[in-house]
Amino acid sequence: MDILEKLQILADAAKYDVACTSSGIDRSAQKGALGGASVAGCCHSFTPDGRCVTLLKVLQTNVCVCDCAYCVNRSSNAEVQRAAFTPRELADLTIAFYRRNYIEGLFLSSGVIQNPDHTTELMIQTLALLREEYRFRGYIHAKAVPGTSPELIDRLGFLADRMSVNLELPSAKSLALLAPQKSTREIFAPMRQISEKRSEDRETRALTRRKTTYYGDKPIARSNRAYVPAGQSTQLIIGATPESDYDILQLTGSLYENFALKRVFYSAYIPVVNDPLLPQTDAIQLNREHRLYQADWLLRFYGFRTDELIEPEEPFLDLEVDPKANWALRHLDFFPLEVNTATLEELLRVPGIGARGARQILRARKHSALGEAELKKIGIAYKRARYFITCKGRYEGAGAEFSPEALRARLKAPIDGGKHGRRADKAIPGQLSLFSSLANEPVKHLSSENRAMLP
Amino acid sequence: MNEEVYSEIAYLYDGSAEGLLSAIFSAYARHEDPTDITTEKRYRPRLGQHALAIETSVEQALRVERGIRREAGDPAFEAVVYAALSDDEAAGIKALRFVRHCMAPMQTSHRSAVKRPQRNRRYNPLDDITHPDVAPLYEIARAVGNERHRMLQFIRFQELEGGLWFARCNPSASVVPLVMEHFATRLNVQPFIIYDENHRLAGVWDKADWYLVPDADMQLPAASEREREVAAAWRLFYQHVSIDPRYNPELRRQFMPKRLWRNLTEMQAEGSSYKGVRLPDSGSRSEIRADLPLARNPE
Repeated sequence: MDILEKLQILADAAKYDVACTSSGIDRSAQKGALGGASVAGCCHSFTPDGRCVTLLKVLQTNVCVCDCAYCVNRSSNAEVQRAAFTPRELADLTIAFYRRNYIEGLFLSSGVIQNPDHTTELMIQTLALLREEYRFRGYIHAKAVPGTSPELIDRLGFLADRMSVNLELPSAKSLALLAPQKSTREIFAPMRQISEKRSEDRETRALTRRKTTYYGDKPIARSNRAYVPAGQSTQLIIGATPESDYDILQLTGSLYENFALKRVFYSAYIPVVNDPLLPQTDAIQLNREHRLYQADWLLRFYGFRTDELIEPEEPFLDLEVDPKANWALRHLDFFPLEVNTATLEELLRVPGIGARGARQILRARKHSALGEAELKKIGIAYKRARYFITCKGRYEGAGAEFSPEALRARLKAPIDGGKHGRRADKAIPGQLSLFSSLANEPVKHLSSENRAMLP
Repeated sequence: MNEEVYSEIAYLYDGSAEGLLSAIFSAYARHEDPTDITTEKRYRPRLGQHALAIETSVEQALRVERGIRREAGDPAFEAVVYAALSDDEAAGIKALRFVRHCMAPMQTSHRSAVKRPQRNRRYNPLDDITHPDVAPLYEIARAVGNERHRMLQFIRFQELEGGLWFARCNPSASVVPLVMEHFATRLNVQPFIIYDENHRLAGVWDKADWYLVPDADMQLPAASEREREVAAAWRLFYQHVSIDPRYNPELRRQFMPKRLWRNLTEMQAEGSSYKGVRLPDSGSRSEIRADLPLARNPE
């Protein structure tokens, strides 16, 4: 099989992994070595679905011993052609793409070939070729395969910049149903290992940097790489199982807290294989995914807590207004805020003022008092923010009743899904598959015992 | 006196950052307040306006640079340089107003009684982005910065026969000087040329140093055999990584403007691969010797 054919098969097999970021680490270039990395990351292309291509996202192989119901590479799926890259082929392809500025680095995942250890060894060989033989300094994201022995995970972690273990399903019950070969313990073990090893490594590296004596200006040589310097991430599938947004956000919140994860990705379930256990509907929950991402941002950059965003009584996020506006409407006693005196934390709670806008306001108001014209120049979404602020003592939202119902009508904004495709409620021919399935059953809220698996 | 009432003056510079800084120097040296600072190509005379060609002087530019850095800090100077590379015809005059604002003696702010903070190392005039002298420059500098970032994303190199790498781009601001450092460090193992078709400016990295060649005349060899294969592999990857049910071309266009597609490998049709270039003729131009980068990288 030639390399083009392999690339086609293994890129196709990897595309449902949504994580595609090259952020989290600054690595300067070195003379004579190829590549570098910047902390903000860089997208190099955008596919027709509007998602970015920043890394060469492929599988080492799509041969897999697991039979997870949601996965296109499940062992019982006979329609998919199987292929595998040799470490050398994949390393050469990465370098060739990188030299042309097509990509920021490599995203390497894999199906489980023979057993998890063998799979991880193959991945290690590829990364070692890149890092050691080709002296590649670009970004590498590697997947940890659940069930791999800890020594191999450690070895992989020293070669990669970011690692991820995909949780895929938000509860132990769903996992047992759809991915019988995987257990939550098996998934959380590498996650915990990476997070612990990472903080340990950071500490020791910080110690070697510190000057401990009056003598010896020579820093201690640190020849080894840092361990997973860009942190770890995970992915959850949305809509394949009956978990509510409440369950998902609870899980997310605890992952950020307990494992110091950098990102949790959400992937609206798209039927790729026919399985009676799965919904085979045409309705992909893209809007739900969108709202979850908004809530996720609020957790990471706006200082919100999970319980502020969602309550067990209303376990799904409002599809009409975004989670931040929803919070504001339920806490009108917090508003209006005076933009010229409010703290950063307060400004971040105002709908229409983002993380960048809030900081810009702090800088600008040192020079002059801000009014409507100034706020518009700063570039916040003034027409949303105005109902919640005063400028120099004057309420900006005059004309609207200051009540949840009236403001809600003004803040309602449909999610812009473009003019084509599913997000615009248009089906693409050839994609329909309407099988009878569990999807027609009403969505049940998970009982508390099932949530016991949360870390 | 009479003449001053009726005449306005415009400064014409050569389009480089040094040129704009020289023009700013002249405004101070000649005690004038020009109504336009622009390049000859973009200049549209106003009624009763005199045009004055400003000669680029590196010495004067360096003096202006030192002054801005001292009074307003490095970010402010960087913003002026970014503005200088913009295609906006009002960029020059906006930069002058910003520089005058930075260099003006301490005074109370234009609108309120809030005192401008003491100038110290942390003083950054760009913080005051709502000020009428600052906001226009800030916007231009941001637009140029965005275009620079697009070039970091979308420049595509091709391997030519003999080991030289070549990239063609069409940015909406002359940002090649701003991206050279990035690529010269990151891709330091390969000699390359980045050619900006819109501004006819080539950036050359010869594995030792990078420099700019305006109006370059290049005869470059054809793409290598391997180039066609890798480009085909990239197109294939691009086609297969997209998820059909999420089809959303509006979103793609927003992130990846259509004007840049013609220089993107993945958006070109198969077989339209690069067959050597002969760049368009221009009046005066300097030569890039094709052997220059190659000499250091024998086959």
